[in-house]
Amino acid sequence: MTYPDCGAPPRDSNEPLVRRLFPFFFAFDRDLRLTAVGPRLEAVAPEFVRGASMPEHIAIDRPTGVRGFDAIRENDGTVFMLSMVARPQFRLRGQFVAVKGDDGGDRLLFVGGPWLTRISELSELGLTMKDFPPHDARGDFLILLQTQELSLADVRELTRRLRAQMESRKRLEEELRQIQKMELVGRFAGGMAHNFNNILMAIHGYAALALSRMSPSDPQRNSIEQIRLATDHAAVLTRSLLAMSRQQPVRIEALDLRREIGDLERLAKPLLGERIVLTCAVEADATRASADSAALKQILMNLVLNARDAMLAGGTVSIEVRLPTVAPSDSLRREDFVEIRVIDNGIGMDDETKARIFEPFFTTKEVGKGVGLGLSSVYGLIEQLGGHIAVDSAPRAGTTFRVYLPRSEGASLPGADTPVLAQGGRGERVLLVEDEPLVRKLLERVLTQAGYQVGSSLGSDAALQLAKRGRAFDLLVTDVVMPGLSGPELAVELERGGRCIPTIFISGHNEDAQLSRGKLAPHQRFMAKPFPPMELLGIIRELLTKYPPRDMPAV
Amino acid sequence: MYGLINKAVEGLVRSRFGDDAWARIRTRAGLPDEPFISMEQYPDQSTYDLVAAASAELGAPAEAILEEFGRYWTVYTAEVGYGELMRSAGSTLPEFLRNLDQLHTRVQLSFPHLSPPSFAVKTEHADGLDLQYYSSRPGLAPLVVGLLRGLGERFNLDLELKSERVEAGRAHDLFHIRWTARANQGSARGSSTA
Repeated sequence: MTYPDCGAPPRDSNEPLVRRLFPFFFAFDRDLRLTAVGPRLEAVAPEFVRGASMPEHIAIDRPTGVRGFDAIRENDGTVFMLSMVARPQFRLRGQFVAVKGDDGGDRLLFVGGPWLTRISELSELGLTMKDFPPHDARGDFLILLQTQELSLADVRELTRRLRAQMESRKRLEEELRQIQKMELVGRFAGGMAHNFNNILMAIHGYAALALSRMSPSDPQRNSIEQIRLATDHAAVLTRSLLAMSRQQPVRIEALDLRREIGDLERLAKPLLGERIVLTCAVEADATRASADSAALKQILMNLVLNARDAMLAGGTVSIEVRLPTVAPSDSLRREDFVEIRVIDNGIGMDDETKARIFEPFFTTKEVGKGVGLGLSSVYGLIEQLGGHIAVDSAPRAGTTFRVYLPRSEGASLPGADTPVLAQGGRGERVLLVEDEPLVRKLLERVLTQAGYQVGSSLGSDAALQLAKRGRAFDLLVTDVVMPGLSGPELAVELERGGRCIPTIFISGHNEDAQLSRGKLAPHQRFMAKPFPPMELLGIIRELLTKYPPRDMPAV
Repeated sequence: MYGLINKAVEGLVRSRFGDDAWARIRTRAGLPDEPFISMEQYPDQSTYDLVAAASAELGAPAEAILEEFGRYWTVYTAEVGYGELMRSAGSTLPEFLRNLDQLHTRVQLSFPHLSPPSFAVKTEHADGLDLQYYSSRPGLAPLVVGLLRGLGERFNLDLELKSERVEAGRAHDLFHIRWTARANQGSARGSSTA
């Protein structure tokens, strides 16, 4: 069939109405020639014009296999999906309706519109919302889809927040578990260490007494020396346990870091061997810190030895003391701290190891080379000192420990340099109160042998009875935690008459260490068990020199 | 009101005044630290409380906050994906304003509980028009001022606005809008014959 006038079929009379209602319509005759094309379709596909062959421009994607005029007409109640051959992304969705043309010929009319699933596709296809007549809900449908997208964005945001909260909660629970574990381990370890200290003190003390009576050539001397050395090692272990469980007695005072680091350097160098170089530097404006001298040495020695073990082939360990460039945490002020860096160029650590190094009993060393208390005791001690510790490390990139200690502007406490005086007694009267029989008997013997008159009792009640019976004493050595009155309460009772009695509190409990933190009177001292008997004798002599004996009135 | 409105208030405050300002305003308004859900309905009072809190925290009158919000809304709607909808409403200011009601009608399929205001172009001039604004919510005329100014920017027009309250018949606000094309911008789109 040909169209001699213009090469296109004649227009049907209903075309203007259809054009207005269905701007994406098209119609074709039995020869599959287009007889009409909607205005919007014309605009987006200029090649799609009256007279053109419909199959050349339109592909029927669904229903599958439907071709030809009659086959399409038989499916006039079916949803058709079409695509433009030249622009496959431009798809049409609608239905075909069979109609008669003005000339009586058969026509198939496509009624539908673009198949869109996102509002942004409109502009991609050169369309706008205005291309849809008011009766066509396609535009509203696109807005609805966009609103659905908005809701999905909300869901995504809520999910993100929920996930973050769950992760935060999980992290907090893990931290809580860790704290509880540390507390449990600490309590257990602390209790064990305390009891061991009493036993160790007795073994060490008796060994020292035995040695003091032996001639240098005594064949048993070496055995006794070994016993004493073994108890020294055991005491180091119990100190680590107490430090890890934050129960090691500490005495916080203003320290001169130049002196402390100098002492440490002398102590550490022999332990590092020839292949490891130790360098120390203290900046002039960072020489003062509030800490416990022994605890600080224990901390730094642990870190230095840790560095040594990370540099088996040798290397350099640097200790640098400076003012920190950043605060140890957001809630703290940088200027309130001094920073001590212990830097090595050893093997470093991966993140997994780094996360666990402060856990008690965690070690990367071979069995028998370490028990995993070194860094956990460092952590515990630093907490006791009111400080902080951080670590920077990466495999093969060395390790830097940053220790932050409270800064001090004050000078060292008086008495820190008190020389050890002659230790022998001159018949002065010492009241010894100790509920642990092993320790009491040892100290009785040490004091008696040193030339003191010793009155001893198992507890504060018995001690008060002694005093009430008229016994006078020149000095009191007392345990802190006892049945009945505590050591400090006993001291108060004994001093009720108005005269001060030089007193030495001895204890292995950390809670008692508060006695050492500025709560002691000038004539009182605190000693943490275990301690060598000679040290006790030195302190007794120091006190009795400062506070010479007078007759003590009965209580 | 739908959560989308409160989200827009949040977006305005955060973008102009920072996250801390938003935290203070939200707290002052007595709202929890939770994200608004776009399609959830919130009491109108929560939006009024936010505006009052913003006014107190930022030291600006509530009218100024509302006007700024109206201006921001024309940008925000495009940001959350309704730019095409805005474009479809018109390529000139008068066309856009004439189609505003139809735009709201279309949106109602997605926001079934929407109580939108109603706009009607009363008279048109070569360089302006008079717009009637009807709303069941009191006190939001400054927001419309901001909307109109935002649209002026969209169509590269400088607007001169006057408004009056008309109580006769169905009470409404009447906005007298006059425009001039912006000097150093591209083609202005204020022509009512476009």
